[in-house]
Amino acid sequence: MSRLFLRNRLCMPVKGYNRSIVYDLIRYDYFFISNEVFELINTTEIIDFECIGDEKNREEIKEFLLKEEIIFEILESDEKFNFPVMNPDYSTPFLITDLIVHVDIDEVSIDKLSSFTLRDISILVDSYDKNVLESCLNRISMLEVDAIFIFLKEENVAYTYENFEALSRVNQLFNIYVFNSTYTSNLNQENELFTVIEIPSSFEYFSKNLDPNKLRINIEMFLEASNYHSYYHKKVYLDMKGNIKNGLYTDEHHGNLKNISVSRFTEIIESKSFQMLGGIKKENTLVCDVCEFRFMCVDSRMPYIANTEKWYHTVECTYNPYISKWKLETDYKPLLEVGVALHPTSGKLTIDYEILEQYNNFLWQ
Amino acid sequence: MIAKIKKQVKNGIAPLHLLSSKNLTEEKKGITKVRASLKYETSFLQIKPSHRFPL
Ligand code: SF4
Repeated sequence: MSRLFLRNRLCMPVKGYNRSIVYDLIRYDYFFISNEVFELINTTEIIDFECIGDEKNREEIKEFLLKEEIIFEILESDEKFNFPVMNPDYSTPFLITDLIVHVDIDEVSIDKLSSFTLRDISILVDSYDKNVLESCLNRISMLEVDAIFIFLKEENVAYTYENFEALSRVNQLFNIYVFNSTYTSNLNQENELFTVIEIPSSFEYFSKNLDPNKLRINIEMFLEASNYHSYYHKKVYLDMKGNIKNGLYTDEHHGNLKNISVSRFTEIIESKSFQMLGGIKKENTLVCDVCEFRFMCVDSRMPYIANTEKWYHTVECTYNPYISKWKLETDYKPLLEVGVALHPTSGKLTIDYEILEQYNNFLWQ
Repeated sequence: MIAKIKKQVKNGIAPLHLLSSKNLTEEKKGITKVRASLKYETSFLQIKPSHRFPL
């Protein structure tokens, strides 16, 4: 009798143009697999290994999937009912999960924000001033917020632990990001209550472009990205003037927090027009819809829609899913050079399969 | 309480908002300990405070 295997319910295969990824949602890990293996395991039923004709190949795939605990063995087919499938819906009690503010945010605005429970707050700092930062952080930490992140935009600065020592009193501070700058500390890392992350690019480049450092694998991220836009959903950006925006790079604003009441602010962030961008799914977005990273990436580009059914971007992502290459890798080529043309105003996508296949054969065979 | 949450978070099952300051104000020292264990860099395998990149 042949052995029976089921897919781990928290290992989700996601298909891309060239290859697929198994998202191991509980262990925050991932595995690349071929699209053939995707077809094999993209089922909640018992896996039919017999459809792989070549025995050696079949045993190798089985061994890999078992070793990584992507699949497991059951003794009787009825046992599959003991492993219910994950509910694909997503909801969160937070009205705002990510709030972005500037370091000089005024007292009145912070008071208004105290009516909300927030998941994360990111503080943007144009130029580092110890006292200004400390006083902002102290006020913000009084809000009901789980985690605080500081982004120091100034470049070519040599920071030391002494710059940030006083900030460690704030329990919710998790990370300080510095850009094209350095950080040194004599302290053992274990004793530091926050992590300073040195990003080797400018703030503008980092915040506008997707970077592998921004990828996250977990159940919540997977479900949110499957149902909503993982950047705009439940995000609020208060610009320097206090204007309420959907994200760092959206032009439109929805009023000014300084001039409105808390209830009006709540109405705005609950309104259809504010939530429109947050409702766009990757599945309905050109190029991203064939990308295997689509449920782990956070993409700050502004999506547009024309007379087509799908959304599109006017700026290209740093990952090209048609050739499975990141911009920082050798042999990366932009979409157009591999035969994928996205018309910048009509939002129409055309693919020259001959050119694309030729380049993929060169890369991957 | 802290030890339990810490273990659950390590196993990836505790919602991280359990660690918010309001829930654990009496155990301030504990929070510090939990937070130290939750520090993350840019690895997939480490615990993140947020489910998605916050910026
Ligand atoms: S193309 Fe870029 S933005 Fe789109 S899903 Fe892939 S990694 Fe994310």
